[in-house]
Amino acid sequence: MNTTDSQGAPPPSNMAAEYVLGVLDAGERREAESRIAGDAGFAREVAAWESRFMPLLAQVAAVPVPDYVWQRICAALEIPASRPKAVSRPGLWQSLTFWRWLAGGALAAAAACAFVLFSTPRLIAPPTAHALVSTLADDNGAPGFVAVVSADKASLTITPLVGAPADGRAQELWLIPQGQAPLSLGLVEPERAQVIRIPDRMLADVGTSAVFAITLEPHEGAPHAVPSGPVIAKGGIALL
Amino acid sequence: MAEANPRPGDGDSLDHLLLAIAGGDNAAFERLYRTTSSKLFGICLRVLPQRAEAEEVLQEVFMAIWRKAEMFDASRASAMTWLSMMTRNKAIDRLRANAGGGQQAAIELDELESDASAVDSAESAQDRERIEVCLDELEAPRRKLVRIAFFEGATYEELAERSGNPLGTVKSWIRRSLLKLKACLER
Repeated sequence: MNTTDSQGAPPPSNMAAEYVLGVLDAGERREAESRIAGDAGFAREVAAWESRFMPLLAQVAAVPVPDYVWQRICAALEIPASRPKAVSRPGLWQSLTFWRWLAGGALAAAAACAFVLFSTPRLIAPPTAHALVSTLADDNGAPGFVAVVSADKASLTITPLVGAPADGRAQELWLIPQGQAPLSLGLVEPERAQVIRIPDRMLADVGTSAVFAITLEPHEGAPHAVPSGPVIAKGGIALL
Repeated sequence: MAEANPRPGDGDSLDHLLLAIAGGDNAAFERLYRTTSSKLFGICLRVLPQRAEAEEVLQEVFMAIWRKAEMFDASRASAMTWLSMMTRNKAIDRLRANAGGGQQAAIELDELESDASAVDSAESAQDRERIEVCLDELEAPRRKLVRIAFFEGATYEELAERSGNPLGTVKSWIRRSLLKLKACLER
């Protein structure tokens, strides 16, 4: 094996490594793939290189996927689109585990194809059709809270997916109508789902053009007129 | 393996989800999508800068997962490795299918020659992945080419063109780098 850097003819091809590195052209890639299928030793070599390089892929930043991609996948696979009958079991709708699961993968809970979510016996249909929902995520896209607005917009259920702030500050929920100043909806308690009343004067502002945000604030004096602390989570509002 | 269960505590490893998907479990499929799609989309976007193409490839990936989940072999690779590499391969195949659709930016190697040994020397080697440690043992211009090849799925020809070096030279560099990486990774 020539491991020196002396100039001259290139060392012989190591197709398994070059396939995983990604430098082969289309024809060579087909050749490598047929060898993977027919040559167990070659397949093991490829798998070994994949494991070696995997830590580099693990560094690639996650990017939120638009909801319609999931919709297209469901449509293309003809996953049944009928929504099963609603079962009344409101306890689960406020279960922390359920929401943590629903918000998994840093995707909006408003994703289309929601019927799949509710097709297993242990899950239930959403409380209302056309609910407004929001997944509030941090700057890295990690979901921190899920909010579901009632059909009459008189209240919303907010569920924290993360623990209480380490510095002991309170978490305040804001509704930010498009192009307007934030309106406080009061403090959000950590570690449990809760129902927050939406004041009548804000009803018209609750819609898909508005945004929910959570800031860290002092406990005293809430609801505050304006936010003073950092935004720890925010999210658009979508129709489920 | 650590990456096999990115959401510890929810009791559902990716291995188990893939097994359930092989059995036609819609809910497991949705759950896998929610757990992994943003990560896999990031991988698509590294190879395919056009978002629409990256979205199409992500769709292909999940359709393949639904249909071929039973081909996942936990004894051969972790679930996340299997999913990530499948994603990357589909993205590279798409790139090859429409030549010229990938990254075009020139690769500057000359400026790196001087700081070949200085990179990341302050960082503790113990906290870093083996592949990173071994990449750092390569000369800076070779390391840069290898990283670009891997992350952007660029062919030898494209690397030669973008870096302004003869094809034979680029091939030599990369193949020698792979030999060195292998020796280092197996040390």
